[in-house]
Amino acid sequence: MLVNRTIVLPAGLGSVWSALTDDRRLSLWFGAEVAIEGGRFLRGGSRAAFTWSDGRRRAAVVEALESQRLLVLRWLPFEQDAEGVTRPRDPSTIRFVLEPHLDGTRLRVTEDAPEHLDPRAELLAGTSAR
Amino acid sequence: MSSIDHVFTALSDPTRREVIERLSVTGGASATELSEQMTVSRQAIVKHLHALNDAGLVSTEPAGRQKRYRLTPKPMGQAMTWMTAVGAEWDNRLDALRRTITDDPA
Repeated sequence: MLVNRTIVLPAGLGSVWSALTDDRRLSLWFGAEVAIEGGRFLRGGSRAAFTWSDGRRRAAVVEALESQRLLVLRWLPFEQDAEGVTRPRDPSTIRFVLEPHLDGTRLRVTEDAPEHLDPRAELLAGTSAR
Repeated sequence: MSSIDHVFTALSDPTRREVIERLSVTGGASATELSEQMTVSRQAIVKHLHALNDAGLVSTEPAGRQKRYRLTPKPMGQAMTWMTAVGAEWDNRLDALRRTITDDPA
């Protein structure tokens, strides 16, 4: 886990949970238009399509879900551009952990770096190219 | 631990950061030279160099009976770029999330 952010939101667990799992609310802040199968993340295996304003599309699947506690999304290893051309992307994972807090809800977000940033892979590639 | 975590774990230690700083200034050094410059035991320096090597941050070349260590800063650059970009993206998102929740607690 490389990017790691924790914030306290002035709302209860239920409100924060719905902002993470309801596609209408998720689309308000995520930076992409989100369409979840059935409108909400309800269980592991739920799928969602994310569409950015530049037309780029990526799909994610719920890897783990515990209501009002934990949501883990895994990006599928490809994306589609506005012209519909599909190209590979390394999978990465976003993890949301919710906890009750005196002032509302504590939310911790972590995102794993994709594997292609593995510094040792880079080093090996450099060595073999010489 | 995901592989790129090695870079940040490697950089989390102040002695290893000093090793990196010295290698970047001198262009390369042996464990003995680093040990003398930093007044840290050679054994400890070797351990730190192994951690940096595992993270892909230094490479070695033979120099007589000793190994010479050099910086390979590219992985650090890529990892930092990734972390800065994705971190900024999350800062924006979480600001927007706070506004969403304040405006419409649901």
